[in-house]
Amino acid sequence: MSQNHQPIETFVEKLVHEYFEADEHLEKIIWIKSPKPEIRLIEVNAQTITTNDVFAFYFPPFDEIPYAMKIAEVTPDEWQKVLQNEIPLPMGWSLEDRQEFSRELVAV
Amino acid sequence: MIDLRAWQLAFLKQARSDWETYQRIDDPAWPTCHRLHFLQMATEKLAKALLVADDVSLDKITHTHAAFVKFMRVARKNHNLQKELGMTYSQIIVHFNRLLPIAREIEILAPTLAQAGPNPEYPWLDNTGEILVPVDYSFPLIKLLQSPPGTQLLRYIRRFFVAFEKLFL
Repeated sequence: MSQNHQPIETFVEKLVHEYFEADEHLEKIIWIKSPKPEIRLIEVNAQTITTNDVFAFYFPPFDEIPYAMKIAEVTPDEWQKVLQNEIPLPMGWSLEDRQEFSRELVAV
Repeated sequence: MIDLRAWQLAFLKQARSDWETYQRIDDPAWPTCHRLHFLQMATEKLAKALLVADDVSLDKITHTHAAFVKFMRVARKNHNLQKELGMTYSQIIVHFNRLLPIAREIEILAPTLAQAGPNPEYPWLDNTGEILVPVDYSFPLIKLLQSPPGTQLLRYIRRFFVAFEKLFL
């Protein structure tokens, strides 16, 4: 359970809806589940630049989301390379336990 | 055990020093290449101060130069920043989109990203085969930084440095 007695899924879904609603170029969000109390997201967005890395930026918890967040942004091509293990994930991240959200499956 | 917070603060300290140097020499009396070099280094390390918080190897962080644009794109999701600017996420996306092309111009000043083209550190060959030297080159970016989106971007960079702990830690 989270710090405020709501499951972490609730906060992830809130973020996913917010992000899809605000950014029309966002194609997919991958939630990488973590043993730590933090939200790890990879966003697939054709508008971002290609770096051939998955760099996750850290944001501290705040009132509405009481979890630290680590957010990376990749292009669709980079995401395919991640899936094919050509681009590594950040240390400790794994594709084994992930949940994908696509725009079509999320009612915006 | 690596103390990631200590590394983060170390990157931030060096970024602030680069930024302070940029501000001191941001004067036409100084060659444009040196002014832009310090701006590029300051913004790169600013972004890396967030990256180094966890999960990314220090080796990878020190060897990449493409961090600032992704930082600017992802920083829009920071609720502390949204609150500070009084904008929603949707508003800040539109607002920052105007600034991203200039952020990218700053980022690709790094020689490894400049692809043997204009950069503030090393001479390069132009299309006619002439050797160009940074100190002699008038970088178009310097004019872009004086445009409304350019000055706005610089204001935000300054704000990030002043309020980094409040916004990002």
